[in-house]
Amino acid sequence: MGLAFSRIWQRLFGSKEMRILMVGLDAAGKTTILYKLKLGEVVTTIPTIGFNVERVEYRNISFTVWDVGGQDKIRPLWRYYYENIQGVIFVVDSNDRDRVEDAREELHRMLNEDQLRDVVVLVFANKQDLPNAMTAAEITDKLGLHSIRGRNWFIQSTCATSGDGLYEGLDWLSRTLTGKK
Amino acid sequence: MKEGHEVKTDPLAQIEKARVLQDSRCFDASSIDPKEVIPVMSKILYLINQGEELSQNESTEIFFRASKLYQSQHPHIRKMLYLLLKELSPKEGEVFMITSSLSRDVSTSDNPYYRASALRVMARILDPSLLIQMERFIKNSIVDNNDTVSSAAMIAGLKLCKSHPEVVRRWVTEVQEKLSSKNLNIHYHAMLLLFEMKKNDPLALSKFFEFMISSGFKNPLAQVQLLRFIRYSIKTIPFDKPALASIEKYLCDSLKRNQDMIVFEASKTLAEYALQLWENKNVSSGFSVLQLFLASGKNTTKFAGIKTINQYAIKCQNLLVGSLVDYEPLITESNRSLATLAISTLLKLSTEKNVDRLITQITQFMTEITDDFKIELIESLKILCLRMPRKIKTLLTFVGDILKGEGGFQLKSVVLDTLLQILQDLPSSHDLIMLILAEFIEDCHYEILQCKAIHLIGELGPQSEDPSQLIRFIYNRFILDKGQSRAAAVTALGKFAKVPELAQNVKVLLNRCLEDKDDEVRERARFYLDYLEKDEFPKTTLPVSIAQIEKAVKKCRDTGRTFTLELARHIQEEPEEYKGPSLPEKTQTNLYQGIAELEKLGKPLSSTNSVILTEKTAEYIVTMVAHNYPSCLLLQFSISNTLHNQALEDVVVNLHLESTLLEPLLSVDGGIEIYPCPRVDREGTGTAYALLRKLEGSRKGRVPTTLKFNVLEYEGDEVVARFEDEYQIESTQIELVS
Repeated sequence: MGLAFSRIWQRLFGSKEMRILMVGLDAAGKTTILYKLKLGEVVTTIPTIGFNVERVEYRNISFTVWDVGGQDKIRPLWRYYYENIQGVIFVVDSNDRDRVEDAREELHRMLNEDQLRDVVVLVFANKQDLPNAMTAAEITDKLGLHSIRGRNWFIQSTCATSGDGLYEGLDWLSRTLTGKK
Repeated sequence: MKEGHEVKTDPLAQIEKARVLQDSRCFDASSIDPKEVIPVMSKILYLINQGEELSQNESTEIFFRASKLYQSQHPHIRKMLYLLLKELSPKEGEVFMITSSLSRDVSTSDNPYYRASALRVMARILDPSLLIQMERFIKNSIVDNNDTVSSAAMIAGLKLCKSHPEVVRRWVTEVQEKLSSKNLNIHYHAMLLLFEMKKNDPLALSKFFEFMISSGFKNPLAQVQLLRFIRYSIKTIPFDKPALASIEKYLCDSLKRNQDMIVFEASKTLAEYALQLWENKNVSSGFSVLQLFLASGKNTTKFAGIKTINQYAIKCQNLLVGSLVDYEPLITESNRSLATLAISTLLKLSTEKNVDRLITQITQFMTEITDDFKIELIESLKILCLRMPRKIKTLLTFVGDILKGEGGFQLKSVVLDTLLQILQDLPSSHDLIMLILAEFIEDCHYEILQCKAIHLIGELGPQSEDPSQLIRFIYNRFILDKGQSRAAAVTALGKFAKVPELAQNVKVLLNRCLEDKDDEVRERARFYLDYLEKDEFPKTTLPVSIAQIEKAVKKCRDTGRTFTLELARHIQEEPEEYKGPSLPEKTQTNLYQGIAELEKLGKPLSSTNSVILTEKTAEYIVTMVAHNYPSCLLLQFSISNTLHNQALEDVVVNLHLESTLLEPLLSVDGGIEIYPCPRVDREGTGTAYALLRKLEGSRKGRVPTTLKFNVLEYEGDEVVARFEDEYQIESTQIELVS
């Protein structure tokens, strides 16, 4: 009886589980974002060799966020973490104009994977605090987001160090994912 | 109440790789359930430990799936994860996927168990480039306040010392610091690691010993180890005089300690190198301590003492000869291992004066000694023969008796080899040894050894003083023995034709062999007769080595080419191909499928590893485990059917014992009993048994084996055909030792 009640409670108000994969080129700020969300503070990070995984609670949703390193040699291994993923956060360094083309290639290569067919994509245009940063619109263009068909996507400009935009992004994710179900 | 005929299934036999791989998908689930995940992890570990080979793809897949378990904080899952990561040994291009996680465990985890385990995993899987990044973490862990962590870090250091000594050597300050730890374990590990770091540098090592000795530590485990280290390094390192003196003093002091283990190691170290290095006074005090061990109440202590004395008996003969009286009482010891070592020691120390008496004494015990110890004795006897050629007759007669008496294949083959060595070193023993061999072939259970002896007589017999007496023994083979021995005998006989006065007789005998029913015998006889008529002898040396011929023949068989000597000449002599890891598998007992007769047997004395008798990709995969019982041998055949449209019924294992060494079993009532497997489902497994009674003496052989069964062919769930079939599997190696 108690169990049944708690199940109903869970369904109405309880937290939902969501698995999110956060990828992007190296030095885009993924680990910083992860720990800003988890701890609310900016930690000093070193390039991630491998992955970090943390659980972030937000708005009754429990996000399990996989932050997988972005170095060249790790990128081919991303695919091992596609299983059972509901959403992808793709982080772009808005200040890195030279490599935005690389980012576009990696993003589209990933979205072509069959396992990620039903996954929603949230793009974080990160490092907006830097003077020479590209705007979200510019990045949308450069990443070719408009060419994405049959998939929910959203771009959010963020600044990981101040936390600006991060929760707006999560809001979109939770709305989209719960709405879908 | 347990139902007697309920079919029990073996839980371990049901663990199949494909199934487990499938199950490992639960690692990917969004919420990890320990109850589901942990059993799968143990199954993977079980498979790996069974020697199951994971293909590169499979191991990659499992590795990445397992890495996802990092999201769980469940302590048991984490514990299993560490074990799994160690066993999976991920390849270079993957391993970095978990370095970040491991280094976080080591550096920031507040659970010392996680930190220690992560260190252990690191030591197993890191490649050089990653090690450099991780070095800092390991180094810091050495000086960690937590003993578990510190110990694990030093053990990791010991492991890494083998592969990356240059990196580990940089941690010397940290390890040295730990040498002052009050914790005995830490102190011990620090000492091990320091030695390992310095063992190739004589100067550093000499300083290390000096430091350790002067520190006056009281840790008994470390003391034992230090004494061993001294023994290990003293012959390779040129210590200077004062250093030697201090080591010698340390050894002598250690002799006075009250822990047997320390005293033992000290005396052994003294014995090992003392003769070259120090005054005999100290060596003898080492031996007198060992002799005191002999009077101890504990068998282990006695054993340690006599074993060491035995080991140095030849080298330190003059020191030990005086105390012969001390060892004699041990001969009557009820513990046969002790007695045999005592005998062996006495033999080594004996003189021409007392050897006869000793041999008479030993003869009384021979029947009570196992083969292993007889082999030990043979070794001592060989040395004696070489030392006292004048006593050779007594000694060789004794060896000959062992050869003629009861004994297993290994013992007899060791004796044969020993005789051959004695013959080489001591030509005067020639005639005596020929006679021993001649008597041996008269009554020998082992065809291979018999042929070997016949061959030796053929090679060496003609040079005897009176070769004609040997011919009779050889010719007897034609009347009494099987084809293989007769063929060997023809060849040996042919060799005797080299002796001019015997040539005519040999010819007569060979002519008789032309009537033999065995092709091989007739052909060999013809071969030698042809040569005799031409009056010239075939060359005994081959143009290529036997190993090359063997390789060439194998290759021809595989490729279907015709064998020529030319081909053999071109084949390189290369090392044997590595055939993959053996299966270190001990199968549990009590799986007798509810067969009452088998359950009565209880627990076996021992079980062999499981042997696969088919190709791994065959339609039916059969593995065999032999369970050894006092009076019988139970062969357990596990049959795994990989076909999805066929089930098997009444699976019988047929062992074709005819014309193998196990043939006598067929004539004994109940010598062999077969328990068929009633049914093997589609893609299922089943077990059949064969029970072999042990007869007197040891016998072993490869027995051709087939499976016989009814096949039920399915279409959907309906049986559409039923027919009898037979399936050939590899011969079964059976060894019956009573």
